[in-house]
Amino acid sequence: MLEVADLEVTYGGLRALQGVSLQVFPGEILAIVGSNGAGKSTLLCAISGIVRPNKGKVVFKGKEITHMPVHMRVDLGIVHVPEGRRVFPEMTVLENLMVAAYNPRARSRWRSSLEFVLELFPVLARKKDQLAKTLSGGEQQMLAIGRGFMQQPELMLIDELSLGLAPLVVRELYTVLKVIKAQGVSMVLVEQNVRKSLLESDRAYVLKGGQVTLCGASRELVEHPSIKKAYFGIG
Amino acid sequence: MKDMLWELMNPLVMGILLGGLYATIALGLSLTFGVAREINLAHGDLVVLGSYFVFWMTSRFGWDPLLCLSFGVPLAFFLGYALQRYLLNYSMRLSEDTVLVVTFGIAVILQNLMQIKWGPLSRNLTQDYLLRTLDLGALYIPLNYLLDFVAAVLVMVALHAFLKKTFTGKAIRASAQDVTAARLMGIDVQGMYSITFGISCALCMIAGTFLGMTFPFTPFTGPTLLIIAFGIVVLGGMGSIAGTLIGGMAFGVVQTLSGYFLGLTAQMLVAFAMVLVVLSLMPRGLFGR
Repeated sequence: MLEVADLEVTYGGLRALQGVSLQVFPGEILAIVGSNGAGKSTLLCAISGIVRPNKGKVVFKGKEITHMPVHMRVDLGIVHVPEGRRVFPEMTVLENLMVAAYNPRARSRWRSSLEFVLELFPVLARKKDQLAKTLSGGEQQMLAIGRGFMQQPELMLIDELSLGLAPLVVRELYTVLKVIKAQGVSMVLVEQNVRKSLLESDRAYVLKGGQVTLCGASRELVEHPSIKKAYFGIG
Repeated sequence: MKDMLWELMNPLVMGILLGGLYATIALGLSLTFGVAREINLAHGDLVVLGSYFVFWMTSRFGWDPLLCLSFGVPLAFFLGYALQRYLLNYSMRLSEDTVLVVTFGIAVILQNLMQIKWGPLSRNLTQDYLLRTLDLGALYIPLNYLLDFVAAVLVMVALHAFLKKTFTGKAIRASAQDVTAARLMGIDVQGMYSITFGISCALCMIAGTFLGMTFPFTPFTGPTLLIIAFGIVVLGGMGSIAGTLIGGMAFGVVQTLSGYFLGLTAQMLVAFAMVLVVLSLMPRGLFGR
């Protein structure tokens, strides 16, 4: 469904990604793990188009999109839920959700998407007329995910879903992701929490210093000695 | 004492009504700054261009100025849209300073084109019916001042409804609040800037029409209008519609009252002194966030 080949991104001389290649298959949850500054977020940004790679290719459903503007990628179904949620603070919950259905494909069925999202997150339904800035961190993350769904995604890129959130909220968010996945949406998860993202995903890539060092089925990677050593502090 | 209060009512009401005109002039500037952080130094000249366009139409076809707006507003929108899309969006990508230089250049070009086409003498859009006065006992309200205010309120309600209710309006507000997030929502932010500048120019056309129905104008009235608009936008807080109206009224009232007490020569001086004082006490304006 998505193919990234030999991707290279530099920020003012600093190489954030180097020769990264990966694939996302339809209907799977893919995890990208790695320490701070490994290039995980940059990778998502290059897929959604927020940053431009200086080398390599991004192909979505057989179509090259390496240099396509962000909003046209959204039209194709690539949806990026950014780190730090980035909800629109001075707009209500409802307005945040509606503006996410801006692309023509999503706009034609915004009512049914909205109903679905408000059912997934009853707390958003209760606070639908409140300004987004008045929500708690967890509620804002729910809004960010809800906004993502309003966009009619085929591929959802989710950056740091659980950062700074209580375990209970994180569990609720992952339950919802499963529901969204069941609608046929593929996902790429970037998580600081390595164990959690390996447990919640089908396959995983390990990034280190902007390069892929390891990839495979998440179930096997949890047991991999170098993962255990680097991220769980055992082995 | 009572007589004095009654006498003050006239400049007070005139100031409020005049404030409506000022707010209409400032609205477009506030909008482009609030949405795109874009400072348009040609704003005042676009208002005057609106005045001249209507002047040209009324003298050629003998139409009422208000009727000319039905052509002028869409025309101004497309002009503004094209200007942003094919020129200013590129300037913005270079730097904020580039936008200042480019819009300053547009201002100079407009002033000189208007002078070539219509000459340096002052013109106006006054119609016989506009010179009527409503006599409310102690109050005399000129009809054109009243129309200025009514138009301001209508324009602001319409703009507010557009920004709140439509998908495009919401997308414009989203672009104003967080550019990256807006792009990720599938919004073509540059396209929103183009629409916003188009709306700003349409507002200039409306403001220019009512300006011409109230005061005479010359090809070089623009810079003065720009400075007034800046003062109001600073008072009201950038990007706030209600703030712009109240800022306009505050400006108008201070101007007419100081004109009443200190004479006409002092009125602009006092109004701008007020802007400076407010700005030093409340750097974000009276209603800024």
